Parts: sequence; structure tokens; C-alpha cells
Amino acid sequence: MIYVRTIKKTMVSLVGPTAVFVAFISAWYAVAYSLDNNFSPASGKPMIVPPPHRLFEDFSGTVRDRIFTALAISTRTALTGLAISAVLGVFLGILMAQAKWIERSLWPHLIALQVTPIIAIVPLMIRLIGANFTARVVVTVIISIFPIVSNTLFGIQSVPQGLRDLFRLHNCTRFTVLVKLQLPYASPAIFTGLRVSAGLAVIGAIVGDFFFTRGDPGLGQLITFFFLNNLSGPMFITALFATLLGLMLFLGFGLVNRVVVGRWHETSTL
Amino acid sequence: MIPVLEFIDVSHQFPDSTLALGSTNLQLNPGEFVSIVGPSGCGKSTLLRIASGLLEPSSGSVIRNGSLQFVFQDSTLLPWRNVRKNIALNLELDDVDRHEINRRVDNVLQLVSMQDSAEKIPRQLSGGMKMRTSLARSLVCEPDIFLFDEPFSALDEFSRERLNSDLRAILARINAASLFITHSISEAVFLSDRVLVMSPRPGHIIEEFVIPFGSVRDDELRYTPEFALLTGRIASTFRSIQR
Repeated sequence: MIYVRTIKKTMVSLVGPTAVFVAFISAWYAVAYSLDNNFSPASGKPMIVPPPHRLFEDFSGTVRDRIFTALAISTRTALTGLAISAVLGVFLGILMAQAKWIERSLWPHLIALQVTPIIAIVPLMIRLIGANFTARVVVTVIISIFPIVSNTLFGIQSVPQGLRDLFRLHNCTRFTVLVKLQLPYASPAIFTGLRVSAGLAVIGAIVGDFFFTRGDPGLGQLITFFFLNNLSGPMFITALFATLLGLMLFLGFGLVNRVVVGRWHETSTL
Repeated sequence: MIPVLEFIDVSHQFPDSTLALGSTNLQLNPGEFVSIVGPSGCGKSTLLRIASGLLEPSSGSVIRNGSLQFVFQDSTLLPWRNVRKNIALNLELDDVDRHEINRRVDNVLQLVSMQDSAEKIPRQLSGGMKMRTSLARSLVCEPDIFLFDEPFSALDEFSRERLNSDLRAILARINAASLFITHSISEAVFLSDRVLVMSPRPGHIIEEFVIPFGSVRDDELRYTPEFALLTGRIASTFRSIQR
């Protein structure tokens, strides 16, 4: 009985994603072969959407080097931004959980930061900092910090009254309550925030790159370059690497969550 | 005999002006088990929070002569700690020496018959086992006073009766006093030396019943005519105040 249930469970977890993947690839082929003027009459090369099997035709030499260099730059930007967001976000979440007036003072500004379009921030960043690595990181932090702050705050505020009373009865300091109760209790929520922010940090690093148009080209600038030069294959590969980067960070945090949170919380699965 | 806990004209009013607890006088003597029953919202939990020091009374005074431990309605276990570490928590928070913690935790695990579950985390335990761990976490501190806030209310009847018997047996071995809040009259009669009945809000103690069953009580006590008679008398008082 348990054996049958395991097979059923495996089938459910495999069949669904495989079916969606097959549907996606089929739709991709359908679009590639139904578009007018998708293939060059002279060389036969795809111009707009390359079919999946022809995606890596131009992935060699300079193109490959440029993509890997851009990937390294965007990865560095995303990871630096995410690391700053994680430290600053958890700190702000903890700070806001200490008193209602601190929460009320900071919350509106964080929401304002969250809803401000990135295109409105980039010119200011260029004027203040220049079109350099630091500016890109600042943009990444602005985009990715909010889920970490809100989830840290939510996690700490979710500690049940009984547990808070238990620590109060022992006259614990704020630091002891934070370290022994609030942070461990909030850790599943913090990791959920980190996973969301990991995706946003990649978006921040790439979208910010689109707007900077100067400095070392990351994946965003490279996509623009391939687009302007009608190199649709490399453009798709670059986008694919951007997706993989986001996915790796998302899965990475899932793994860290599993190690740190362990088996006590139901969210500690990949 | 000097009471370990004494309420002198204690009352409490919430910030919204609701009088939660009327003028209350109460004495808890060393080694004594006192239960408080009363209708929902009559201020039983407020009384217990005042007794613990979690809440300051609006008027009157509370005298505590000894250390106390609070056993909450929920088990309030830390979900990431196993049973052993949860039991050790209160001692850790009181900065007790590590060797002493280990020694006491081992003893208490034996006392509550949980040696085999010492490495399990709370999500692997039944409701009864969680409550047993919560009880052990208080027992390990060897307090003079236990404050129980409906600790077994979420359990099924069988687990509840078993824990009642175990609690009675454990407390018979140590000379600690207990103040126990419950909705169950039969639970109060089985466990207590005295049962106090509270009026509806603003709650105050309106009647006291002395339970004459001695310190050693076995499960059969619940099925004796004397037990039924006493439970009936308290229930009758309870019904009359709710009319």
C-alpha cells in the first residue's frame, strides 16, 4: 500500500511539471514556425524566435565569452545586492518589531520604496553615484529588500502570546528573547522572504542594467545589444542564463532553509 | 502556616474600563492544590496572570512567598527544540549550570515517563505528550507554586484523565502548591484539596468546597458516590450563578 502511494506521489510530482514543460516547448515551436519572416531568406537563420533545437547554434567563441562575462557581472551584482538586502532587511524587520512607533515610522517609507518604478530611480542613481557597480547594487537592494523586511516583521510578530509570556516570566532581556525565541520562530518566514528576494535581486540586477546603458555590460545590457544586432539566438540564451541564475538562487535558499530550519517546519522543503 | 500565595482585595480593570476581576481574597498554602472554576469570561485567567506577575492588579496586593512556574493552556513548546531541550529551556533562561540542567532533565523525563521521546520534536508528539513535556518543563524548575491555566482543556477525555492521575501522583511526591484553572468540575474535584467557584464578570470567589479525599487518589475515585455527590453540589452552585 505504501509502495503504491509512493509511486502515485512520484507520478504526481513528475507528470504535472513534465506536461507543462512539453506544452511550453510545443507552444515555442508553434510560435517559431508560424511567425512571418522569422527565418532569413539568405542564411536561413532565425531572426525573431529561434526554435528550441536551434537555440545554441551561435553559442561559441566571442558570443559565449560575452555571455559568461555578463553572467559573472550580473551574478556579482545580484549576490552583493541580495546580501545587503538580507542583512539590512532582517535588521529593519527586527527594529520595527521592537516598538509600534518604529514600525509606524518606517512602514510608509518602505512601501513608497517598494512601489516606486525603477525607471524613476535610475537617473537619480546615475547623478548621485554614477553608472557603476555600486549604483547597480543600490538598485538591486531597493528592488529586493521589501519581502525580507516584511517577512521578518511578520515572523517575529507571529510568535504566540504564550511563548512571549514564558520568556517574560523569566525576566529575559530583549536580546535573549530575540536570539532564543523571535529569530528562530521567524526563520521560516525570513527564508520565504529571502527566496522571493533572490528572484527580485536577479530582476534588479538585469532590469537596472537595461537602464544604465553604461559601464561593464551585465546580462541586461547584453540582451539589448543582441536585440539591436538581430542576434535572436544569443539573446534567448542570455535570457535563459538570467532565468537559471534566478532559479539557482531560489533553490539555493531553499537548501539553506532546509539546513537551518530543518524538520520542524512544514515549509522547509525545496 | 505562611501562605505561598496570597491575594488581598485584588481587583483588575482593563484599559477599556471593563472590570475583569472584582475584589478577590485568596490564600494558597504550601503543598496545597486549589482549583478555580467559573463561567467563561469571569476573570479566571486574569486572576492567574496577576498571580504570576504577568499582569499588575488595578488595586489590592499580591504576596508571593516562593518561586513559581506557569503551565499554559497551550503547550507553548519551541517547535525547533526536541523534548529534552524544551524541558531544559526554563533552566537555561535562569542561567542554571549545564551539568545541573542535564541531571534535572534526566530525572524529570523519568518522572513524566518520557525517556523514550526525549529526542522527538513537538510535531512528532501527540497533544497529551506535548502537555506532558510542558508540565515537565515546569517541574524541572522545582518551584514552590504551580499556576495552571486550563492545561488539559484541548485534550480528549482519556488523555485528560490519564494526565490528571499522573499530575496528582507527581505532585504528591513534591511539596509544591498549585493553583489550577479549569472548566471541568470533575477534573477540579479529582485534583484538588479545595475548589473555589467564581461568579460571572466581574468575577470574585463566591463559594469554597473542601475536598475530603486525601492525598493519594486512584482512578476509581471518579466512579464513587461521594465523588458524584460533591461534583453535583459544585455543578449545582455553578448552574445557580449562571441563571
